[in-house]
Amino acid sequence: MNRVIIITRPFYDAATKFLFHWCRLVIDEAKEKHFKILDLKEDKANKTVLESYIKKHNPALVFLNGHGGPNLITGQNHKVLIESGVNDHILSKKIIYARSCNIASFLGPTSIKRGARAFIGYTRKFYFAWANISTSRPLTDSMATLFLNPSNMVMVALIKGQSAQEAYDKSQKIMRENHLHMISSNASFEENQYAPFLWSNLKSQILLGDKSARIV
Amino acid sequence: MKNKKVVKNNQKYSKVARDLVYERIFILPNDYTLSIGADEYDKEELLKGIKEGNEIGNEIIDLQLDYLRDMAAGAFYNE
Repeated sequence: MNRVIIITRPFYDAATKFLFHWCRLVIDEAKEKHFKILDLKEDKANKTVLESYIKKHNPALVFLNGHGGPNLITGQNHKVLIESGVNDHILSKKIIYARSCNIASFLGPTSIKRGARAFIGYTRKFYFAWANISTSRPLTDSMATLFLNPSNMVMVALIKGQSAQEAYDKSQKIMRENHLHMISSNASFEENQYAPFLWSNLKSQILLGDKSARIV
Repeated sequence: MKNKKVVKNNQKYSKVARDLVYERIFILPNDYTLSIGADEYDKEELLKGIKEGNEIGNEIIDLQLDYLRDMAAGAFYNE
């Protein structure tokens, strides 16, 4: 199996800034496991570069970050990266994790029909929160950690050779644990108030395609 | 036309439900931001959305009511 991972991480607003920095942890994990990383960051997170890199390098795993909708995901400056019925065929034979809103409700199933091996994504909006004082240090924000760490776990598990089902289960488990913490007496007031949003992410995250698919 | 749309959306939920969610959002901390899709919202913007019955307001109401139903059903402790 091709040990190449492609990651799109646009950076043009506060939300993409957080995702940009949190992807760094996934990149570090992949490098430790000797994967070749195609890091499509900032202006490189565009449709032309993505299509070109996928065609040339045939990555086994595609990690898409950014704003999206049921039938598309965007890259830098909200420009469309992949759209159902337009270029979702480029995801054929790959495992995809899309950290984006609503995408698993339509683009997920169509990409599976077009040959993607497995697709993990969200059928509703993807929520996360942060303290305003942490905007300049996204990785230190404890609230964002509760949301983005379990989300990263999908990729970490896949990189470690686990199946799509195992990666999905791992992420679900940590979201559930984090949610239970957030509603416990050990949680801060803020954590307690944002628990419903993490719960929504947990419920809307789905796995499509071959549950046994793995990249190593 | 905008006002008509707001009135129609507000009729989707009972006043009790809307007020309940409004109060739940009212106690959110003032110094946090919530990312929802392509936008970020502070507490005041969420409250405004709920009051106006716009898309984001209705989304928050849906989410919160869904959450409360799951809480009542004991879903938090199921595997």
